[in-house]
Amino acid sequence: MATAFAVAHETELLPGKSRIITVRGVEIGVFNVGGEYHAIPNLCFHQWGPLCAGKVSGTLAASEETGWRPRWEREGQIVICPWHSLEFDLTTGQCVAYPRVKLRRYPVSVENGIVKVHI
Amino acid sequence: MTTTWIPTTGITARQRLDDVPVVDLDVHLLEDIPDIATYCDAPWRDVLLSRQSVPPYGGNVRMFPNFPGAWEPRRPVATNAADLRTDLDALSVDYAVLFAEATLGLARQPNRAYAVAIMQAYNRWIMDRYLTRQRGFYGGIMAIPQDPDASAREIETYAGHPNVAGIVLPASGVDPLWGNTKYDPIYAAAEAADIAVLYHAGGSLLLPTLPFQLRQFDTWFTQHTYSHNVSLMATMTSIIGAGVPVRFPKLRLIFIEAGISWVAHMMLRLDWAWEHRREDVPHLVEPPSAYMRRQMFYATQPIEEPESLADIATVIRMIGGEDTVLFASDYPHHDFDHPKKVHDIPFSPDVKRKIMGGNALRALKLPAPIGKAGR
Repeated sequence: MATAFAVAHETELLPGKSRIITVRGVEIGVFNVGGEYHAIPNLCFHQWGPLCAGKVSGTLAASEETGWRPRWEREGQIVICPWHSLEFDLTTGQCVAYPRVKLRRYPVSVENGIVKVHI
Repeated sequence: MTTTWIPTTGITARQRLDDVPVVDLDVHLLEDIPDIATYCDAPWRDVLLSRQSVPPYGGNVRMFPNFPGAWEPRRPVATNAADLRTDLDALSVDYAVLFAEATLGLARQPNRAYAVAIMQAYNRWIMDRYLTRQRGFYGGIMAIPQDPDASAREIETYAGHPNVAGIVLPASGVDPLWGNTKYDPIYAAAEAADIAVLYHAGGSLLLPTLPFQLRQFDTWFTQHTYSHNVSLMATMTSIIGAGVPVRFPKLRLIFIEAGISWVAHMMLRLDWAWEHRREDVPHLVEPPSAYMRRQMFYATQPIEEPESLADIATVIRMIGGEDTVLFASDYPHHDFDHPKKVHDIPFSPDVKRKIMGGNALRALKLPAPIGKAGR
């Protein structure tokens, strides 16, 4: 059964903010993306970089849908690994470059103003 | 199929490699970091703010990522020996071979006298700032193609210094290529001094010299991808064709910053050409691969990362790399490799120890580390 671990008071984790906590020796990054909380491991699958210490922004896309013109999208929900630049969608855990790779996501709840991650 | 990545270790465990002595064949010192800012139209404004810096780094992704820390705040890259030691400790690197940053481009300086002065200044600087004390640092002193005799004198000046491991021959902007006999004084001096020759691939530069006519490429992706490996291929072809390893049989020649797969291609292709046109290279009494396996060494960074790391082990075996492949990180560049990635390549513990450091100790003739830290 999952155990809840306190991350922060919700006033400390406003939209655009994040926090890294260590639970049972594993680091987890908790992000507030537009009012919704998302938690992923602070560990890039590539060379084990500190993924959650990366910048949160968007990503540049070009597809048939955009007429192959580059378009900046998903602002605020993409975290980029500070080591080698692999990008991940915080809301799904999906690696932007490699469709086969998806990060584990941990459930997050708010109880009495306390943001909690469930492991 | 989607694989969900579930970590089982924390941040400390993932960044340590404490059971194997690690020699890093490629660590860069920074002379200066120009900070350039501007603004532009969408979507490039977001790219600029959130991804790429502006030239002079050719539109590169963050040239110097914060290591080992976060994106913000930007932490200055180490610019002194003590800070560099701290950063390399975080990378589990015991011994490091130090290279220049901007000075690696010195081969492109048209003024010979000025190039000589900068070479001498750099060598005095690195000796004074980084190599006087025993910190596990080894230079990396510079040579220049513009003046082989002056370069040979630099080798003679620093020969025998315990912290000088090799002479750096930059592989970009060189015309003629390093196999030309005009450079023989450099090779003769390096052989006499018993130090290694370090060919370091250059950046994504637009140069008139082979193979840097990169104007047809309009992104970092294309320019950088094409330039490093091809510059080392050109250097390899040049020195094999000229018989450098035959005429200087005690020289150890080390190729840096293009990964290792290109070596397999060149080994097979040069042997093939040697069979077909031995009359062009009668001085090569053995096939090129024999010299490439015996006298030449190959730094791993950027290590190729196939989906199965066993595939890269196969490539390393193909080139005799259990004895000639040397770990390199390329700290502090954006495309650095963590030693654990190379250590994870499936080899026996004995071969892992050789690739992570043992081969480098032999290639550079360095003393064995004392304990793990060796300093």
